[in-house]
Amino acid sequence: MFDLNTKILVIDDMVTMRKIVTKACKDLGFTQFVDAADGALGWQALNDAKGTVGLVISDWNMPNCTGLELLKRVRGDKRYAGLPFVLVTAEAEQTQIVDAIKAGVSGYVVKPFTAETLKTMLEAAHKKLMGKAA
Amino acid sequence: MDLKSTAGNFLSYLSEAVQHALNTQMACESRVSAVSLKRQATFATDIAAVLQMTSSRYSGTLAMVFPASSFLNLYAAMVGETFAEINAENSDAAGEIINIVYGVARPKINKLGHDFTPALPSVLKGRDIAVCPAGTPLLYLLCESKAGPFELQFTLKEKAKAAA
Repeated sequence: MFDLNTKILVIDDMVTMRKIVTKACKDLGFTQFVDAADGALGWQALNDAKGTVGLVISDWNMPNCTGLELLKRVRGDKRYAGLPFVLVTAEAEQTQIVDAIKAGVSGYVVKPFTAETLKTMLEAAHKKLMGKAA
Repeated sequence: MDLKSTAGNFLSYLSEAVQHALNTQMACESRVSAVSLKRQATFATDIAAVLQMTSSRYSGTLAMVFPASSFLNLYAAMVGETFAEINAENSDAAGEIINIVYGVARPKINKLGHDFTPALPSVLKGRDIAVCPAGTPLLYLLCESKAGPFELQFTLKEKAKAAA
């Protein structure tokens, strides 16, 4: 599992979903968070954090810059090439999941979800990260 | 698939989606207790979330309307914070709830050959606000839950065919 001191960037245009994700992560023991209201602001927050963000959990369907667009931007920047990036989506359509995998997503959670589901997915994303590092 | 069948399938998937969304995200049991062309709910609406459903063949409106008590109970179950009233800090949860419900139902209806696109919800606050457009048959789905009653409102129509 991720080090519980990992700083998590939570991105969602809905305040409520940012709270739900943050609460679920706090329930798992994480303590450090920054948040942003869309992909464009998320990109800014990621750069402002100057390399201290260790995990991004982003909504998919947002105005200005979607989660998938942000993921592509992140993966296109070598500073963040290995940054774990998890998409939270209300959509479970196969084509979208394929798009996310092609873009380099570390994992995805389909809404609605429980803290336990998020934990399972974060564990899988971490395992994937460790596999790449080995 | 004709309008009547499409609407019927949509209503069935939406009913399942409401149950699944509330049960998973809010640990709240719920069920659709009545579907009708005339409003059965006796509560006054305090907050509503609405989104436009669009495919290449159909367009429609989906709304979820809540009295304050049900909404605040659902919010507390979802986020773990309690509020005495609906305000700017909690109101977008209505949008998140409908977002989740539509997100669960939409892929299922699309598996039947439709191409309904994702939609961003809007939230409206106010006593007994009307959220669905007049002039289109409107279906009401009254829902009962541990958090209290709420309602789905649903319209669907075939888009006008382009002139040949």
